Amino acid sequence: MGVQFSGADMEAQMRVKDVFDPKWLLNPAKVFPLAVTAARRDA
Amino acid sequence: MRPGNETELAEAIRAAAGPVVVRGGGTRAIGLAPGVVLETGGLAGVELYEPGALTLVVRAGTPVAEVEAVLAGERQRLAFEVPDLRGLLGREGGSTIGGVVAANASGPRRVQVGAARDSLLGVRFIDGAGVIVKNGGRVMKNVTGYDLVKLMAGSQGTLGVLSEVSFKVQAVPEAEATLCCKGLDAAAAVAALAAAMGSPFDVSGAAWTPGGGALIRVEGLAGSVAYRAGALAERLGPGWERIEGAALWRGIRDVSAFAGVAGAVWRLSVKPSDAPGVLAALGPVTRDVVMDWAGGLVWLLVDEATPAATIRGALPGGHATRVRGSGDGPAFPPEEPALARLSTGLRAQFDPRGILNQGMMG
Repeated sequence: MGVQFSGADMEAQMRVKDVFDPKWLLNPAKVFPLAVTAARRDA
Repeated sequence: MRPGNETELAEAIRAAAGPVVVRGGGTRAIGLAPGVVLETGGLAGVELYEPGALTLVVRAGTPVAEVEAVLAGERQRLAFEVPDLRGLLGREGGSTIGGVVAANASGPRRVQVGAARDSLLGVRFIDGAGVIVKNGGRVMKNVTGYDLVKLMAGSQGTLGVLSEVSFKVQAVPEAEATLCCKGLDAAAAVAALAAAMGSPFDVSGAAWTPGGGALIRVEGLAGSVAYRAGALAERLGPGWERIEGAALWRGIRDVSAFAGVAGAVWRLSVKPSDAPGVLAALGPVTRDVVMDWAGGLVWLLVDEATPAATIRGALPGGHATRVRGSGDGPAFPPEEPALARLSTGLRAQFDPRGILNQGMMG
């Protein structure tokens, strides 16, 4: 993911998940690198 | 505003103080609220074209005519048959490829190859905060991450301004055949079109108009087309004749029957089998009909003052958009609450200031 997408690219994708799954409850460890999603999963 | 490249486009959006109306060729203008016009025409030109790989990457402001000319030079085309609605909408100018993607505008061949979004491999766009985002690529099999490509197609410029689009293109087939049967009413036509679509003969067009009758198209290698057209005619029964179809399909694609004719124009998306019932219910207000996608797409010419509620009330499902004319009620179909929540949420995420194409999509 980190090679193919820039931070802004991944941010745009994660914003879609924010809308469908605001609390990141559904398969939170999938699709995105864990380091990138840590803040969202902990919130 | 008319930025000349992607960086200037991003700066223009970042610097925007209020609502922005994104304009490609200016060939559509339904449901737009006022705002500063942001033209994409400065971002024009082919970035990459590999005919052997059937891949085309173009900047979003490139005129569709130019894209089609480049492809035609290699006997290729955009599979989804870009509609030209200038006549219908009474607009000047020429569509841009970015506008086509933003509207997910697709012609009769959608029943075979899918919509514009199904040919779209990748996008670059600027979101409402002025950030450049890319998604997808130049190949079909690109499975990493979320597919924002499909999200952007048909988003009407409400989530971001496209700066570059990549397509899978199609070789122009060697032959085409059109079968026509006049004198069918809507119900009989939809039944025949459904039978053709359900056949193994790979139909690439299925349309009907009250005056022109039902039309069925097959495309491919000459021998295959001759066989499939013959087999279809036999299966559908008497009354089906092979005719010269190119101009007729253009007319269906562009809804040219309604061009310059007074009245409001509605675009109905319905289950094909529901189409005859909807037409019967709306008979009293209907002046003319063009049916495409085997009944799944109904263009309706109605009296100017017809209220939106009359049209939408006649639909057992699906949705209706007023593409021309005025009247009571919203042009874009109201969304169900659950869907509206997602749409609103997406708009808030991608365009937090709510400046992009206000008033589009309801």
